[in-house]
Amino acid sequence: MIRINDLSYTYPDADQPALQIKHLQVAPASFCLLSGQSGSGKSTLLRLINGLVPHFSGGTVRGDIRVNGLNPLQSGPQMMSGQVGFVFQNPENQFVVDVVEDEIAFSLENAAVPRAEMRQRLQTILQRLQISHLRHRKIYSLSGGEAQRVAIAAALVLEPPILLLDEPTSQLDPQAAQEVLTLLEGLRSKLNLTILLAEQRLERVLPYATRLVHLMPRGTSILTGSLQEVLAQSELHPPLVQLAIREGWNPLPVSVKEARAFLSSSPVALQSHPAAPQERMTKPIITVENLSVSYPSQMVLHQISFLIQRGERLVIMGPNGTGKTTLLRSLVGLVKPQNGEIYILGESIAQQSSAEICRQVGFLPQDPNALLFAESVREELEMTLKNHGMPLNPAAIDNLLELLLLKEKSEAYPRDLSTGERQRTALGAIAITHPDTLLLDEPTRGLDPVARQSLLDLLHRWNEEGMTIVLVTHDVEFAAGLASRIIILEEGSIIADGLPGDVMHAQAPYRTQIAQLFPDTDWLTVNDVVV
Amino acid sequence: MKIHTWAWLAWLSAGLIVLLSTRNPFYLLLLATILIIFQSSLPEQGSLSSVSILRFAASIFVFSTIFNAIISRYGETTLMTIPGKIPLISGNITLEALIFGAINGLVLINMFTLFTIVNQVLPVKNLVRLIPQAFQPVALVTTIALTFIPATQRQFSAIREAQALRGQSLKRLRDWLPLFIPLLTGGLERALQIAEAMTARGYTMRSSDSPSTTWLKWVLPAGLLLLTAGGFLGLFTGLQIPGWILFGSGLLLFLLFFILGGRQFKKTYFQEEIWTVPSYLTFISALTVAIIFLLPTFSHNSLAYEPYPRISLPLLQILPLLALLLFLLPLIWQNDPH
Repeated sequence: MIRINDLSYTYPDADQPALQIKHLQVAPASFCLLSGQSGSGKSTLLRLINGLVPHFSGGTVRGDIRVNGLNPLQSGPQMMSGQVGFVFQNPENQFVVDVVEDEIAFSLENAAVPRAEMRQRLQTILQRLQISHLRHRKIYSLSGGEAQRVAIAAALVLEPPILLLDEPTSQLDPQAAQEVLTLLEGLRSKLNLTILLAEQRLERVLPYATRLVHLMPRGTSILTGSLQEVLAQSELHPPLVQLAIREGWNPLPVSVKEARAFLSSSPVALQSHPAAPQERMTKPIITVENLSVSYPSQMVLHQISFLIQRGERLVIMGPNGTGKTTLLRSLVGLVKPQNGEIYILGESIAQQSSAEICRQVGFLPQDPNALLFAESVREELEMTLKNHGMPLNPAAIDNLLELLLLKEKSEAYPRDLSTGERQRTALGAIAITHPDTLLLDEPTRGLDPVARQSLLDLLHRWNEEGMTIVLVTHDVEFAAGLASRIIILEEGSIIADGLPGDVMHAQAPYRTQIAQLFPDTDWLTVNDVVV
Repeated sequence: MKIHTWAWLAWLSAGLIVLLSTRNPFYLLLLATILIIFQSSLPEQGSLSSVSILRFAASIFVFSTIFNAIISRYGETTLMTIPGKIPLISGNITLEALIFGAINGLVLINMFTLFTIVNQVLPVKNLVRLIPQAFQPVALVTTIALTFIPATQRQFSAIREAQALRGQSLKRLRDWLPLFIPLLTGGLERALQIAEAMTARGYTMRSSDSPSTTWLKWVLPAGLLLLTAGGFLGLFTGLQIPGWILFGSGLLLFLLFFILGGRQFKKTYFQEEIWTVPSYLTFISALTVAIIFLLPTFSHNSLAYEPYPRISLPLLQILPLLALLLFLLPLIWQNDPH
């Protein structure tokens, strides 16, 4: 279905190729997972297959690429749209019109499909993706999972034999992500669809994939083969694979079901894990009392109350659109509550500006780009200190840059950096004032496992130095690695609040792979497992 | 009930005709009131709340009035005198200059509110589909440009919030200067993502049976050349007949370009726009307003108004006042869920 030989692609003005592939073949009706670190060329490869690269980006391509018999370099992305459906990382960025049925019909209009046939095809795809009830909804009113389904419907309505997806679950909560992946698997088997899906969170997709293509750093080469073969050679290992390697399980399990087989075939005695030391509780650093926030059309947070103790690592989780980001924004005064009070160190923030609050509480929003505007990474950190009227201390800036692994990039233009580096620069710009508390909104979005681990280590280090961490995420494995306490929000209310082991085992959608494998324990990560 | 895109465009054009044809502050004030009532009655869309629009309109009005009063020295009714010899500032502040500035402010408010309403009631795709098939790349660029504005608005508020988190208040103009490039870049990035998504979904796809285009790209410049040559011959050399022949040939080439160019980009539409009774009534009411304000017979005396050199009361006629009320007509159907 897709065949690539001796291909290299170099972006305009770049010295090195962004992607080099000796040979790659993707069979029809396969579910192919594309993995690799940030900057390894996953998005570039997907865009080469549908012709957006080089038609949209420019640059030089050498070698041969065939997609269902066509050469996308010659055909171009418009012509390839009949062969290849494309789902972008953020569905918001691919929606062109404002109503669901018009959005799905957009490709049909461009292909000049007659109106009667258009209606028929639209009906079919709506039923197939179980979104008939969304047909007349405004795009902006859709939840994350609904929006992703509409994006997939829009990509498939031309009935292409190939579907490409660029990190389609990165913004979805665990349940919505699982629903989307189950749907894709169903479409593949029903329609003989060839799926090529790029993803950073391998543990989510591996159980559905039939084949794995791993791009080596900076796109220098690829590993391709069965899931087990490639996992054994690659540097990115989800928790189950880490455990399997540690315990010598062979072949490597890619799903909890496969891993259970090892446990049942060679039963092991499970030892009780030593109890985690009880966190020392002092007076609360943040107090939230009966907080209610509503937007013109809906209530977002409803009468929620909780305390955050100094030194806690609190992780807030919950489905998309449940008010997690609104809660963080309320804590720094960006959203004014309708009811309730927020106290920081015992003082109400009702009369304080966000700038004043942020002297004590640092907040890293979802999109780090909004924070970055200086000419260099170092200047970003200096700018925050100047704004707060604090003295510039070059040694402290150097220390923080070193901690953030940005020392060598200190003079680089922030917007030229990779996703992970930009995230760390924004974190530095917030953390340079040494706030007592750090709030982070989805900091792992778009980060590869290596960058995620480095962020996890950094947050643990700051926490050991006394910083309180409050983090919103959909990434259950990251949450399990960090949290000393977890709150689950649903429909604007707290439905669970407690120790990570208790909460994640009790709430099915938030179970880590290890929690699923050992349901009778309170284990969450590979490090917890004592076999 | 949906009103046809062309009827809305007629409504917009009638509004612009009123603004171009009169300086009478009463008419402009009435139109501004009507448009603000209209806009406030529409369902809110994102950042376009009625309060923010009113606030923006008030700031335009105040700025325009004060600015003209300070820089203009015309008029005979002196309100106060700024002493000294400060260039542009010192001198008499006159009532006439104040009123002239207020009239300018009203024109700007009306123009802004007209476009805001059209932006709220007409989806971008309805406007883009009016662009002839031959100009599909232009349609792509137009969509990107239309996407760029709200994307930049969102980027603006994201940057303002993000800077507040870093202790920056962004009150003065110079606080904003370093943020200009990221603001522009962010909006452009978003617009380009949309363009990429549209292209990946077959936008501006040439149909498989489209004619060869290698020669077609020469048709437009050739047509322009013939038009220019024909005009030149006709106007400056007295060779009327050859001039007209060349001019006509140029027009024919233009027509050829539109027809053949359009054939390259075949497209169908899922939603069919229908000329309903409200659409006809909106169109006819817009036409009526345009006729009343354009033809001297109806309202000639009261349209022109000049506050200089000494202020006088503007004339008023009943017909233009009644005509302006017609701008409210589409509101009857606009919020109707059926």
